[in-house]
Amino acid sequence: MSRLAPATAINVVATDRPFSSFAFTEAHFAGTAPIRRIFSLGRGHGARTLVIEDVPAAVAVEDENTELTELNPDYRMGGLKRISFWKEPFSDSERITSLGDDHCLGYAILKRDLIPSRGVDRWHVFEAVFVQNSHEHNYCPAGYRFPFRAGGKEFTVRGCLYAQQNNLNKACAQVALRSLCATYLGDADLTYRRINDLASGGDPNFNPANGLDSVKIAKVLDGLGIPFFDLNYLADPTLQRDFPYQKLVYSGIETGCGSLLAFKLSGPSAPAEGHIIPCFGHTFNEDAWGPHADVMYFTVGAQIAYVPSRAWTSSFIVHDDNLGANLCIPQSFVKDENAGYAVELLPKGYSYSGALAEIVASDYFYSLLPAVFNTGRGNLWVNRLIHYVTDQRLILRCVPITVNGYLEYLGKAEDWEHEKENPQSLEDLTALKPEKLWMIEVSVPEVFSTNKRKLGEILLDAENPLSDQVDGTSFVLARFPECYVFFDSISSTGQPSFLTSPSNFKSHLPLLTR
Amino acid sequence: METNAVRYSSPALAEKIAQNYGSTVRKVQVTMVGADDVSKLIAKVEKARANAHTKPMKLD
Repeated sequence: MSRLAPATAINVVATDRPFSSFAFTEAHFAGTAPIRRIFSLGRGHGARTLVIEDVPAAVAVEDENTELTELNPDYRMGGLKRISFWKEPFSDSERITSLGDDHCLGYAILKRDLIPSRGVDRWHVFEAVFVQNSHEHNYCPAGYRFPFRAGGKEFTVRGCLYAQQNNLNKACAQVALRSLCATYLGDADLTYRRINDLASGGDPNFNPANGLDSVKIAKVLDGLGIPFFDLNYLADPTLQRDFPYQKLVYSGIETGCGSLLAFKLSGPSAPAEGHIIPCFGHTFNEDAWGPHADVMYFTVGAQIAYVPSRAWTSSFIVHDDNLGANLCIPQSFVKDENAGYAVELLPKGYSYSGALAEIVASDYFYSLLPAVFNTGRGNLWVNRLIHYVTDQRLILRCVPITVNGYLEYLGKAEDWEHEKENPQSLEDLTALKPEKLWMIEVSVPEVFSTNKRKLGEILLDAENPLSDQVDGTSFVLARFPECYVFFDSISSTGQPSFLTSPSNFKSHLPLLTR
Repeated sequence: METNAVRYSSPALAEKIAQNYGSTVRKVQVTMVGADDVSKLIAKVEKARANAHTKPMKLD
């Protein structure tokens, strides 16, 4: 892969003033917006040095060149540069061997495509990986530590791979897929030919330059063995009212798998085709106004209303191949009527959406809590929890977890008074099944946003398909202050019964963090 | 109509946890307040997914 190939030439460039990224990119790379954005990210992170290397086409780049030659016989690659950005100031390439991953801010592979018969001569970002922005409100769960070479040494940088379209063998759909799937699979060698072959299904009339449609995107994900949950809002516009695209996009981000969002462009010159972007992070603004102002409720019928944790999200963190890497897009910037298609990537072995799990869990919370605590509410935190049930202001957050992960979490957790769980109970809970779970955490205002803590959780089976009934199906366990809840049985009339057992935790515990 | 029902009944585990505290389990029958609405929503989403191919979104 060109990321790891030995360089044929190397140049070290200091980026301290008066170095101008604008002038440099204009002089060497024709200064397109995504390339400028790469240099802007470097500047923003405090890059002091660029290492610019000529590298040979290998693996994914080489494969793309073959594909482009098949499509355009006079195609040739006019250049391939690997550029890495460093915090340390240095001028001698020998210094690189003394650097470590912590000194690196990111790398980019810039490629020049030439097709004389079509007048094509342009640079684009074949791929780039940058560390996430250092803003304290930014969270980027979907990332992978990609290896690359600078000088004679291999480094790694964690991020979500960015890629730009070239309108030749890849449009926005293919680059969005490569970005997210390479990150999900930890495989930067994922080729466009593989994506296009899966999308075309052998159709001889398939032209990758024309992009993909939502059905082909699903075929690619299926072919790569990536479980996903998608909704087509064009096919049923009423879905946006009942299941807004933001819910699905956020769920994919929170799992660390990522999401795709496709939308129509608006305006008199808007094209008929839509645009699609990968989403891999979100902001969390603990002083957000929305959740307090009752404008961020999610309702299911007349009985259930809750505040999803995404109410504290101002923006999704995305790549837009036309504009550049690591950008924030306000979560409601894409108008409901323009949202066309959204895909939530799921963890391996998960069979349904975390957003759906959250909705199902909401019914369990609003049904279980008053029933379990109908007498003897001696615990202050239970009383507060019940108050928020009555007010329909519970806060829910859905994350994936395994049984082992859950028990590890419980074993480390302390409540606010530093109480830990009974070790024998933790041992007993190893009998829980199945292994893969959705954990829907429940909290109340301020405890959630300020302390990032919670008052309990419900675990749902994530391995088996979700039933359309909510009667104990999929339910694995609930935990609240001083109480575990297990499913027991269902009556002949369909009413479920549950069993409660004590817990040593008397107040709130930390939210699950990665 | 019920589909794909998988339930995890754990009375023995509940009892073991209770015994750790010298206690016994308490059984609670629960009326699911939003079951019909949640079931309708899940069914609607699944139906939409099944019909999604009828109007694919073109992206380039």
